[in-house]
Amino acid sequence: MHRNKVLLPSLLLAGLLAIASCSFSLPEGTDGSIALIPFWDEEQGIQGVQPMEDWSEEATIRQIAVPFSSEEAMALLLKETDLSALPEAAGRFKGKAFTWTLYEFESHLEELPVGIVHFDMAVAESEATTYVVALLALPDAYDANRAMYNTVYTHALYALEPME
Amino acid sequence: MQAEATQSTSEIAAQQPGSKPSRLLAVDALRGLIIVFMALDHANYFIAQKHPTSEIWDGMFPVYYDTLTFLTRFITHFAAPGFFLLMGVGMFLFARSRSERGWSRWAVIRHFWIRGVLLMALQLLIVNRAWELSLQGWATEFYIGVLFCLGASMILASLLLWLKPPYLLALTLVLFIGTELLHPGLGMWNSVSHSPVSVIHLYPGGNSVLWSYYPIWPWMELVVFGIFFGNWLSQDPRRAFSRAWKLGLAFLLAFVAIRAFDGFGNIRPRMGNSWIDFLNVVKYPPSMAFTLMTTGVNLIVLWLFSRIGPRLQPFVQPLVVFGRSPLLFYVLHLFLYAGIAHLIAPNGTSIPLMLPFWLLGMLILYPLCFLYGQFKRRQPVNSLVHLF
Repeated sequence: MHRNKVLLPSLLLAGLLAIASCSFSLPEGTDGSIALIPFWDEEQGIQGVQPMEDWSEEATIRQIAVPFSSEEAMALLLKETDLSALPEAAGRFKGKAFTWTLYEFESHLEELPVGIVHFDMAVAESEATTYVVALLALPDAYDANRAMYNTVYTHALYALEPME
Repeated sequence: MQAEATQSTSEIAAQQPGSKPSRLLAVDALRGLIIVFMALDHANYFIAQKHPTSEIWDGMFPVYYDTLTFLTRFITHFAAPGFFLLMGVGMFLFARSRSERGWSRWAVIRHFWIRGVLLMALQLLIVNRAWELSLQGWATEFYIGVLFCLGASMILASLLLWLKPPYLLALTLVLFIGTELLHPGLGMWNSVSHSPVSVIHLYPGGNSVLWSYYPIWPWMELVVFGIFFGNWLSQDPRRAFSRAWKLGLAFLLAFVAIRAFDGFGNIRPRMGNSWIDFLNVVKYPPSMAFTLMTTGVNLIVLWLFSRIGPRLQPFVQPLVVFGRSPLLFYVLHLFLYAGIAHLIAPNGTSIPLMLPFWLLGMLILYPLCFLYGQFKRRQPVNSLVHLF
């Protein structure tokens, strides 16, 4: 009985070793996780989470708070784009502190001379302050990394709140 | 890793009139199961190179955009707390067994001190060499890992073996709550010292010279609780296992409550509101949520293994084989997976492609563990072999 207990795994092992020896250098896979780090921005009075600076060469996430109404804030933002008005809201997202209105669109952006930029943008207003989270990405990169970008974006939305 | 439990469980089985071997087989089977999960985590680290950032109390924290990546990490969470819990159980059963053979308390304590020092030395001299083989790079000069912490906990816990159960329970609670209180919330991280003494004893973290994921005191809670549970097990195994699932269920309910409340007991707030975020808890140090979740499941699985009858026992036998040679498995599997990674996956691989090599590692180690277990059983109880 003991012999069988050793023999069977040994045979399986020999078979697997043979397979392993054929598969020389397996192809790389993609990551399924990303690390986020909390931040505190005393100037803007907000705290939340963000990825490390080098998380992507083709995307960036901005988290801002401005002392305007959301209409004023959006008017300022639209001046930076080639849009005349925001598209219809794509949905809503309930975070820890705010319920966000979500927008998704593509536009040129004056400050970034890289052609068309994909925007995932969320807006919330509270006590005369407008909070904006925007994930900006090159469209091709956005399509290729949609899951990761969406994860960074939704976690940022969840965590953003006024500083305690 | 806690080879003493191997002896103690089989001895207790022989000594308990009317106790079925399957009851104490459960301890070895659970240890074997968590060894298999642990191996998956390390295969992920060495071969796939998809191991996420550690779930530490300060700094970066992982979030997931792939369910398989999360589950591959999540299922391995049950390993470390299981080792500490079962070490406590095994220590108590060993001490009781040896006392009945005439060993003095000092002889038992001395045995655990030697074994503890051996585990700590193995971490620093042997196991850390395996981590240095990581293809992702390894920058730490002295790493305080699970084996070091198990060894140090063993030395400290050896002094608690004769405490009465109420005191053990009280100490477990003090350590359980104390771990949470020791670690300040967001915004106060910079106020915490990362001196060598604090990272070895209290806070995970450190620098390129000394890094610890397993400070001693936060993990001691599970060893002390294991000694407490060992008391139950030695008095009446059937009743102890019956209590295990009830306690496990209570732990899981407490976990859900703590996680839903998202305040005290989580060390740091949830990163999001998905089901993955709900289960993605602080492991370093073991937050209350982490300890309740993992120990809850471990206790329920322990009960399930205790219910296995003779017909199903052959199916868990491979787990028992691993569970009876944990230290040999632990040391060898790290080098094995590091070696496989260098051979076939220098740039990492996907998680599904890593899985066959995880299994391959266990198939290679199975006969070695089996033969070593047989060899160890043939040695007299005072043999030095039982230290390994």
